[in-house]
Amino acid sequence: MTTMNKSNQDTESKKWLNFILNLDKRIVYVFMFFAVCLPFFLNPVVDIKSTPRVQSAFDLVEEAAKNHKAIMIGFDYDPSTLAELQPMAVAFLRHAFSKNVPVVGINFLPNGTSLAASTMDQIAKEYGKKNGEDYVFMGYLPQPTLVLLNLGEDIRKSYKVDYRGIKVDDIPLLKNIQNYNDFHLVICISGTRMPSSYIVYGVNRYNFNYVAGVTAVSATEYYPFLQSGQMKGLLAGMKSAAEYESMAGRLGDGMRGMASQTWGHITIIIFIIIGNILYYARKRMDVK
Amino acid sequence: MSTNPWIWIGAILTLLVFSYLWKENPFYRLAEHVFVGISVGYLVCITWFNVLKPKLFNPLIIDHEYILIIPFIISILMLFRFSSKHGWISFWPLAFLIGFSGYAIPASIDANMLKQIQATVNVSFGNDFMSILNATIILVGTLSCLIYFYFSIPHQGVIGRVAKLGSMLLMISFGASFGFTVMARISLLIGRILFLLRDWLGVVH
Repeated sequence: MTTMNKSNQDTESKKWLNFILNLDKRIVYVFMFFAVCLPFFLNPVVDIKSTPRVQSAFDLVEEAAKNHKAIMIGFDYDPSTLAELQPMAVAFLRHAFSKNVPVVGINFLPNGTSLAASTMDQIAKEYGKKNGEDYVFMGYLPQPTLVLLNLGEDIRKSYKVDYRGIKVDDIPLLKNIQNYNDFHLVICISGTRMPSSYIVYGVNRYNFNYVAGVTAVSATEYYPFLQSGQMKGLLAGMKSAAEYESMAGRLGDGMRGMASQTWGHITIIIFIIIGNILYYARKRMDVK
Repeated sequence: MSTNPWIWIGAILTLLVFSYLWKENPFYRLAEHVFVGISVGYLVCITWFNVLKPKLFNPLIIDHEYILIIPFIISILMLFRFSSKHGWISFWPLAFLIGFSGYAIPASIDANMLKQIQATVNVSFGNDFMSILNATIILVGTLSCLIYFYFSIPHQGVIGRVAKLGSMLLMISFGASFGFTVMARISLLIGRILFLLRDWLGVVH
């Protein structure tokens, strides 16, 4: 009788284990949805500590302000990576404009062209900056290889007009800008392989200060370039954007998303731990 | 709640795409097709206004830079790809492109290999414990991973153990990559949810 009871108990436990291990993935989605949503309402405080690679990017913009030199930003992202890269772009622009650093924007990804132009205009408006005098967006060009090589010699070789169709020679900001030497810092923000192209065709040949802002997925690909000095700084994903925002002292989407990021990670970790424990328990039960 | 019609369109399309999480459905397919169509249309417009018009047609027609006829003809030759009979003509412009990409070979070797080897050989041990630890990990990690991919000698004895260490380090790097991937995917979800809650519904600020 006791053996039968035990056998029934085992069968019942196994049933439960199988049920939880084969849980409908939509239930996991619901948990994730709430884990990401709730922090926006509860506003928990997330302590962001800066890493050296983000700090050096921040310091280079500060140096540009001290040396009264412009910076160049490559807005090489489109809506598919907007959530991760837009906070970085906004943080860089806010920092630069707040320190009166002129910004020249370029773009090699056609689907991100209007996005880049509107981001620059929007942030410039916050600081009362004028298009053509304090910042300029050059628009989209294909063949980044050629453009990056030309930028080492003369920006006019690739760009005849800016995004608005105004001739380069009629743009006050570009009067004293010829090539990479006239920029204190070059930044590429992209979720593609574009940051590597800047190194291969730009940094290696013309040796300028270069920082990349990349998606978290591609971050590990770019760490070796930091160690070799080909990159002076690296921003990887929303976390780095949040670090930059906290350094600049201006809350943005990066900081806003960090609490959701943390809760989302905790949810995934809990599911992984529970899944592994149950998997192990079922395995033991099968052996018995 | 937003009164901007573009925000509404964005929100509705976001919800249509999210409906895929429940199961494959016609609403998701509609959003997918709209996305592909608009992307291509947008690409054509951007290429016309940012490239073809200012860099080819305006200089050619307004400034009479007739030298541009040559690249124009070469680019037209590319369209012969669609012809099964005259498709070979498209190889000429392709030859230009491929010929130029030859430049990438020495440049890539220099940037991705030689500079990396140089940085590993000249790795700085520094004065503090963390710098020494980092430099040791870089040196040991590089060498053990290289040995793991060296197949000309059997992975036995010392070589086997070093190769094993290399494979373990590779697993750790894959784990780090996966962690970053999770972070990236959650960021995308955060971006959309923030758009829905803030820009569309206006329930958070």
